[in-house]
Amino acid sequence: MTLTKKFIALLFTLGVLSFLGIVLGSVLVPLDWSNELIFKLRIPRTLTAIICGAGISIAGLLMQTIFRNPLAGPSVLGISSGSTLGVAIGVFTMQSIGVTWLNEKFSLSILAVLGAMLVTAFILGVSRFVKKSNTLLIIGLMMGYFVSSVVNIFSFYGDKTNLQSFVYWGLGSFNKEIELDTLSIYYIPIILIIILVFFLQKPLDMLLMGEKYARSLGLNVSKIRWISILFAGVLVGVITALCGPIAFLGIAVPHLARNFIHKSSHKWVIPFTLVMGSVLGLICDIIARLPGMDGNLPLNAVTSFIGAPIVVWIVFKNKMV
Amino acid sequence: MNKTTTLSLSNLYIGYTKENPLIESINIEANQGDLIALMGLNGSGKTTLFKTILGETPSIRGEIEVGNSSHEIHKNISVVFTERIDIYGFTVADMIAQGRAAHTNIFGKLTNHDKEVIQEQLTALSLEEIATQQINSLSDGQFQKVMIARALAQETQVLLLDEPTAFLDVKNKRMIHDLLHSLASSGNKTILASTHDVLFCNSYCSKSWVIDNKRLKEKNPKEITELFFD
Repeated sequence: MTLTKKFIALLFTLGVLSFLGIVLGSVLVPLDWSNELIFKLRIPRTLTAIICGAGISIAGLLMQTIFRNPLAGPSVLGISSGSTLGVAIGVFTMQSIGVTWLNEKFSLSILAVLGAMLVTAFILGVSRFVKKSNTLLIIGLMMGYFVSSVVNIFSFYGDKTNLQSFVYWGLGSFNKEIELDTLSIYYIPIILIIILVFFLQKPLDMLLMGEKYARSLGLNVSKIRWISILFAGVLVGVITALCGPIAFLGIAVPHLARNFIHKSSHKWVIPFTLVMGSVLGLICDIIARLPGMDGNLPLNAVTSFIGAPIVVWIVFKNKMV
Repeated sequence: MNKTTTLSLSNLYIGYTKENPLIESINIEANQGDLIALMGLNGSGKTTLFKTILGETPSIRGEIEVGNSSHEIHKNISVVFTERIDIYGFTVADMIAQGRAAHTNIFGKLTNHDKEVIQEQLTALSLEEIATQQINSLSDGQFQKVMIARALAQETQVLLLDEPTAFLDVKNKRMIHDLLHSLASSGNKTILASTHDVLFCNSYCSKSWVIDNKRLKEKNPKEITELFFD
C-alpha cells in the first residue's frame, strides 16, 4: 500500500470511528441532529477525543525527536506530572483565596501549561549533561515521582470537595460536559500548534541525525529545541488541563505511525501521528464508554491498557533490554 | 587568498582558555584539490580545530577564511563524523537528501535540481543499487560512504572528515581512502580528514598537517615517520 493510500485508509477509519463515537454510549442514539444529546454531549466528546488524541501524540513526537529517545513522551518524562502539579496548585490554593474550581478553568490551563513547560525545560537542561538516554529516562521518572509527591502533599491538606474533583479529573476523560463554545478555548491553541508543527518538519528531520550534523547543516539547534519545548509544553498543558493527564498515547502513537509507514521523515510522520492519535483517542474513548452499559471507565485505565503493551513492544523491538 | 585557496587560517589561536591555547599561531592554507591528513596525538586539538572552523567553538584570536563570498558556513563546509548514527525509517536516498537541507525551502521540499544532485551522488559513489535500502541495514563501510555522499550533496568546497575510518576494517578503510583520493584528485574539493593512519597520510594525501607541541605545521612523509615512530 502506498503512503497516500494508507493515509486515506486512516482518514476513513477516523470517519467511521467518529460516527461510532457519536452514536455509541450507554444509550444508542440515532443520528438525529435535533437530538440534544448529540449536540451537547456526543459531538463535544468526540471532537475532544479527536483533537486531544492528536495533540498529545504530536507532543510525544516532538519530545521523541528533540530528545532523540524512543521512550520520551509526556507521561514518561514527568511532563504530565508537571501539568498535574500546576492544576493541583490551582485547585488547592485558589479555593483558599476564594476562587472556585469550575469558573477558573482558564487560569488552571495556564498553570498546567507552566507546570508542563517547567518540567520539560528542566529535563532538557539536564539532557545537555547526560549522554545516556537511560539515565535521562530515570531522571525523568524520578522527576515525575517528585512532582507527584508534591501533588500528594497538596491533596492531603486540600479541601475534600476539591480533592474529589481533582481525583476525578486525574482519572482522565474526554467527556467534559462543557459547551462547544467553551471547549473551543482549548481547541484553538491545540489546533494552532499542530499547524505550526508542520513548519518544523525540516529542522526536526535534521535533528534526527543528531545535533552535530544538524548544526553543520546550518540549523540553530537550541532555538528549535526551545520552540519544540514550548509547543510540547503548551499541548500537554492545555490537554491535561482539559482531560486530565492522559497516559501512554503520547509515547505510543508516534511509534505506531513510524512502524505503519516505515519512515521517520517528519513530512510523513507528523500527518500520520496526527490522524493515528485521533483514531486511538477515539478508540480509547469508545471503549471507556462501555457501550450498552451504564457508566464510564476512567480514560487512563483504557489508554494504559492499550498503550503499555505497545511501549513494551517498542522496548523489545529496539532491543533495549 | 588566491583563487584556488579554499580554506585559510591566519594567526589563529584555538582552545578553551586564552592563557592555555591548544594550538597557537596557525598560519596555513588549503587549496582546491587538496586531500589533507590532519594528524596529532589524542587531545592535541584536532577535533577542536574542526569545531573552530565550523564555528561551533569560538577561536581565541586570528582569522578563518572559508570559500568565497558566502558567510554561511554550512554552504561552504560539509562534515562527516566518526560515529555511526542510528535512525529508523531513513533510506540511503533519504539520507543523501539531508545534505540538501542547506539549500531547500522551509518544508525541505526537493526541487528538480536537488533531485539531480542526489542522483549524481548516488551514481558517483555507486550507491544506486542500495538507494532504497534502510540506513540501519548497511555495513559500517557502506554507511560511511553514504555519509560522504550526503556531505557531497551539500555542494560545499570544503569537506571535513573527523576520523572517517576509525571504526572500519582494512577493506572498508581502503574503499573510503580510494574514494577520498578520487574526490580530491577530480580537483573540485578540498578534503581535510583527521586521522591516526600514517599509511593513509603517506599514500593517499597530497598534504599532511601535523599538530605537534601546540603548533600546526605542514610536514612531509619523512618528517611524519620520524615524529610518530622515532
